[in-house]
This record gives sequence, C-alpha cells and structure tokens, in this order.
Amino acid sequence: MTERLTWEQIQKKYPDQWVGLVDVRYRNNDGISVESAVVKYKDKTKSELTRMVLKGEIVSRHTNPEGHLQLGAVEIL
Amino acid sequence: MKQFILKLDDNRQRPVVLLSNGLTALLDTGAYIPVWTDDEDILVSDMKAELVKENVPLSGFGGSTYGNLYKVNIDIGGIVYPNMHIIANNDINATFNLILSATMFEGLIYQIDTVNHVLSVDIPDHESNIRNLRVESKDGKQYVLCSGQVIE
Repeated sequence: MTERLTWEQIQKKYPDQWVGLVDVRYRNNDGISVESAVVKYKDKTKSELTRMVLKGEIVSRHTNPEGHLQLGAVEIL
Repeated sequence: MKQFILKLDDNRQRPVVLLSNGLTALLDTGAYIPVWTDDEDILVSDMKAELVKENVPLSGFGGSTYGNLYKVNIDIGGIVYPNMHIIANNDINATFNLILSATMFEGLIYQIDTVNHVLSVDIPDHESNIRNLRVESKDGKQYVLCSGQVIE
C-alpha cells in the first residue's frame, strides 16, 4: 500500500477502525491533524499500533474518532 | 507568565492533543484523575510505569469499575509531570491513548480554543512547568493533589 489518500478518503475506505499511517501530511503543518497519508497498517489492534507509535515508526489514528457517544467525568471513589 | 501552546486535532470535535512521544490525549475537564485508556502492558513495558496500588475504584457515567494505579512520566508540550499518578482502565472504546484530567491543570490558566484549534496553558510566574500530581488517601477518601514542583 503506497497510495496517498486524504483523511476523508481514509475514513471512507477503512471505516470505524484503527489505521497505521506513514508519510503523513498535516493540515497547516500543525503536526496533529492528518490531511493525507499512506495507510501502512489496516489490520492491527490499537495496542499493536501504539507500540509502533512509541518507536516512532507510524502515526496511529481511529477513522471514526467521535463515532461513539462517550461521556466524560471520570472520578475516583 | 509562561505560555505553552498545544495544537488540537482538527479532525475531532473533542479537544485531543499530541504528546511528545506521539500518543494522543483527550483533555476531559470533567475528569478528576488521568486515565490510561490503552493496553496496560504498554504502560508498564513501554512507558516504564510503576504500579502504586491495585484495584482503585473509579466511576463515570458508564458506572463504577476498578483500575490499577500507576506512576509514570508524562510530557505535555513542555509541561512535565514526573511520576504522575494515572489509573489504567481500558474498558471504554477510546479513540485516544489517555485522558488528561482537569486536576492536572490545577494552579494554571488553560483555554481550549476550538476556533484556532489550540490548547493554551499559561503558567503564572510563581508556578513551575514541572507539575506534581498524585492521589492521596485521607479518612478513607481519595484525593488528587497537583502543584508546581520547585527545581533547584
């Protein structure tokens, strides 16, 4: 997989899953908001990708980052 | 006053920042304690976290659960939390690696700018960018304490 895709294309092609990205370009070069990238991994778990992130090998993102209606307010009892 | 600026992920509606190690973190102003929302083994083996206490009870709108309490070094855009206490709980389907709690910014001035997509944190002159966050027990209750740490 060496095809460069926009973030919207990545979301459409790999819906609701974690992807490992390389050759990432960011919106306004902000270093966080993926504008386009090459999808290197599409079949890895979140933790597998996280380990690669910590080694500096890839950028990891979920293609449906707000897809679940989560509530905050974590507290300890 | 020192100011630290972190970019927010423009592809999300919630405030998510990038840590210096490439991990993503949700700023949850309703959270009392930081939460590690990824594989607990990564926290230990890759992040070199040390276990402080097992089975600490915590709650949210999803109900009550338990998580192990660790201490780990975290750097948020130059604001450093050495040995920060954090609870590991991977029960929620989080699309980020950890949750930053409101308590982490105690004594600081922070602003979430969703127009320009930045989180700005101002540190008053009498405060340090080295922060000390830990969970303390008193009279059977758990408290989160966060303060600046003076570096000699």
